[in-house]
Amino acid sequence: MKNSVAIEAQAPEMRKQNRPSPFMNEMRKHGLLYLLTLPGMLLIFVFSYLPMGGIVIAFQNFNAIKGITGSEFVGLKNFEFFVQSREVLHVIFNTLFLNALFILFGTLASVGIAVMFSELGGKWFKRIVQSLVTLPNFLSWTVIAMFVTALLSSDTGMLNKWLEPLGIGPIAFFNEPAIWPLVLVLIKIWQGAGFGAIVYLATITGINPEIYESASIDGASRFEKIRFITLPLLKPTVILMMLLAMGGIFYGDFGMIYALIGRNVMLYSTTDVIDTYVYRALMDLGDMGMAAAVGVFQSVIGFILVVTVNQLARKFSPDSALF
Amino acid sequence: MDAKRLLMILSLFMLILTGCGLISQSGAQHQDVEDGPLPVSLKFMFFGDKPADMDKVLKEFEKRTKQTLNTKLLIDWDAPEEFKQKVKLNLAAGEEIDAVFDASWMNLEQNVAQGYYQSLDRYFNNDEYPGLKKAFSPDYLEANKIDGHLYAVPFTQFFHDIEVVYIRKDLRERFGMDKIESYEQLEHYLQMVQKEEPTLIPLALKGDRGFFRMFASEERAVNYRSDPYFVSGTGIGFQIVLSQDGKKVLGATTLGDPDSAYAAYPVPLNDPDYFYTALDRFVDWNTYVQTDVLNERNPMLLFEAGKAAAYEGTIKFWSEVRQKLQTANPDADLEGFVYNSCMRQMEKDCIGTDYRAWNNLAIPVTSKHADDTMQFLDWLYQSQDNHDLFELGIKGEHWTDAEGQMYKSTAASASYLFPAYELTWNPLMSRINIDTDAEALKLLRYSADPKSYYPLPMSGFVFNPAAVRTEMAKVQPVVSQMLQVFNSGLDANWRATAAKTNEKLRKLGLEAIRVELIKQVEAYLNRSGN
Repeated sequence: MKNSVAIEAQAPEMRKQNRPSPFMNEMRKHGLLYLLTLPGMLLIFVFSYLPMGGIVIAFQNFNAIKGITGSEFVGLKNFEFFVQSREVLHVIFNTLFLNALFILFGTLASVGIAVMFSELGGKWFKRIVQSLVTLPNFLSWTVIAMFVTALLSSDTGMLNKWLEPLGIGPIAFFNEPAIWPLVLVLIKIWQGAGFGAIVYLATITGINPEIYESASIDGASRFEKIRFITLPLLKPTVILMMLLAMGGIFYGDFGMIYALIGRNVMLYSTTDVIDTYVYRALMDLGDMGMAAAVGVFQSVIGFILVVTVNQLARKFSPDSALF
Repeated sequence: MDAKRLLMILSLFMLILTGCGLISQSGAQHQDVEDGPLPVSLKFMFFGDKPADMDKVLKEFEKRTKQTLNTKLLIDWDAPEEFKQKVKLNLAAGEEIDAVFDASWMNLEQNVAQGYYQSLDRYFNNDEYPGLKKAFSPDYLEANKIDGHLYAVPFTQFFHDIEVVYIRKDLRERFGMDKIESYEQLEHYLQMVQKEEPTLIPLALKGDRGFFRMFASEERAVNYRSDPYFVSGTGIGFQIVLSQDGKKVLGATTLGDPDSAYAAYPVPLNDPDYFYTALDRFVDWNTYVQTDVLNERNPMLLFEAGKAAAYEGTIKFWSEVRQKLQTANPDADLEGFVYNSCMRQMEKDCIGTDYRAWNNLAIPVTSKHADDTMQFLDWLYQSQDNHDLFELGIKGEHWTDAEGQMYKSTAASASYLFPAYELTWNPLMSRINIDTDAEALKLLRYSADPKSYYPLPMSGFVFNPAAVRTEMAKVQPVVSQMLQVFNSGLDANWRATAAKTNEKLRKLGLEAIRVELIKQVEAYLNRSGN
């Protein structure tokens, strides 16, 4: 019995040896193309994979002079402050909630804008509008924060000045945490949705025009063409983009939130995210190990989320899964 | 074949790249066949914007010192928010940096505790470095030591930037009021603004600063440290009370502690309200403050634009504020109310200080040019001319001389705005702008006079947070959240809130910080008692 099993196990290998392996075959065929990707892959390896060794810092009482090899190893001690603080649950909730809103409404707005652009005629008009819509993406959050203050301030804000003749207000936006998820989502859409639409617009442009033509011949209206051709063909891209966004869902948008909210404690209950919280906690200490620990925590959770969501995507829409 | 050719091209390309590197390196080595000392390049790391004419000034510096120092300065200018991390990353990478800016409000003490900086003791009070000996008095250096050693060169022009409430002189006169000399008169002015100029914000404050030191205790702290002279870097401010002879710690208390915690203190410190009366006044005065005060980053702008009738700041900006206010509104005029009464009357022994400079330059242990760096600093402080070159730029171009250690701006001054606090501020050598308003000038002179100050108890004490860093990180966000609300007078029930927060803080590790603080203070007292 034993012998027969051994022979059976050997058999496939024997067969393999007779034929060149698929890998070698592929190399022989497209070797030059692979060579072309080499610099890119090296670059990614050097700048994205090698630095991962730095994760060690999260487990060290890191000392810049002693370096990664010489610093004292402290296990999970750097994670303690983050895990033990009670505020953290609240901050994690805010991060997830705000990012979920950003992803959801951002995607909706971007897809909407992309569809509208694809339906627009008039070459010049289209170009100008497209530039205008993408423009806010290039403004820094600090500049946007100044607009927002000028708009929403209670004493001098424009919005309150406009509302005054209507007998409304003044609304103290900067003392009213409940409004802020809405305000942040609106600002985020204004800032990023136009730029985000570019990817979707590219996908729509790539759709075979013959499909639309044949639909027109069958008597489909414009709206029906969007509903039954554009949107279904956009689905894989939308899911792909959402998957990518999932990886960052544990990262609060520090640049945005810190610029807009700053140190306004009145709004912390709905706007304080992991990154702003950690910034406050470690600003005076300047401890790299503890900061790295939070970073590792965020990445690990983000990674788990991407894998889970990808798994779900594969189940419900196999075309759109990343891997 | 094709693949081979491609490989060849690639390897040739790489060769060229490395070749270039080699060529430029050897090029640098060739230069030093000249008279004078061997050329040295020093790498400095500063934060902020590079002055437009920095290179011009550096060229002038190289020209002047070709035969003596033969030093080239390579200055990195980084954005303030990235600066701290970048310094650490460079140190971790073993890069040779010859001088970095650091300060107590950055991470100076922590970085010294981590062993990042070289001890500089040997360069001061040393006849080989006459410039440093002249510009840095032994007392000044002593006060800036950490654990008995000097790890960073201290820079300061004045030991205190006097706080002031700026008001509109034109409005005050219109209201028929005399010059403001007390909180009562200030309040009257604010009330008049509310009545007569309802569109104006009566008093604009900065969000994370609040009322700052308004209503603070003016008593001279002999045996205790408390607001406004807290020991910094402890996560939350502690009142540290010493025994009569100053040799023992009676206790360290903080906001929200039960009354019993104060029992061991002598009268009147045993009443917690002694330390906190200002918070009640903040609540009373909140009615004069802008609604979105916590969101305010720069109340100066509100005042300058004529949207606020008063703002709390410091005398440093006096001339600038007046200029901008009058540009926006030619009829407006500025007046300042220095709210601390003994500073207002410019009394002697009024301002408590630990004579600690608030800005420093340190030499990392990775530097191999410590001597050269210190020789440069020595040159800088050797003569007023050298010092002026870096602080103000080229004489006749960026500034002109004025009598009595003053200078006058020129049209080109704006192209050389050097952050003097990162290299050249010095009580003996820094000049004052002659365009400064007369009133501000008097106050500046007062704050430059050593007789205006008295030494605070435990002035050489520096808290090392290494042992309690987890607790600090847990406590800090909660504390800053609470204090910001209190400092602007937004919580009328601050006593209850403080007590509740205090309990929460105890669960997060407040006690561990307190115990560590007392331990370190006692160790300090034992050391300095001998």
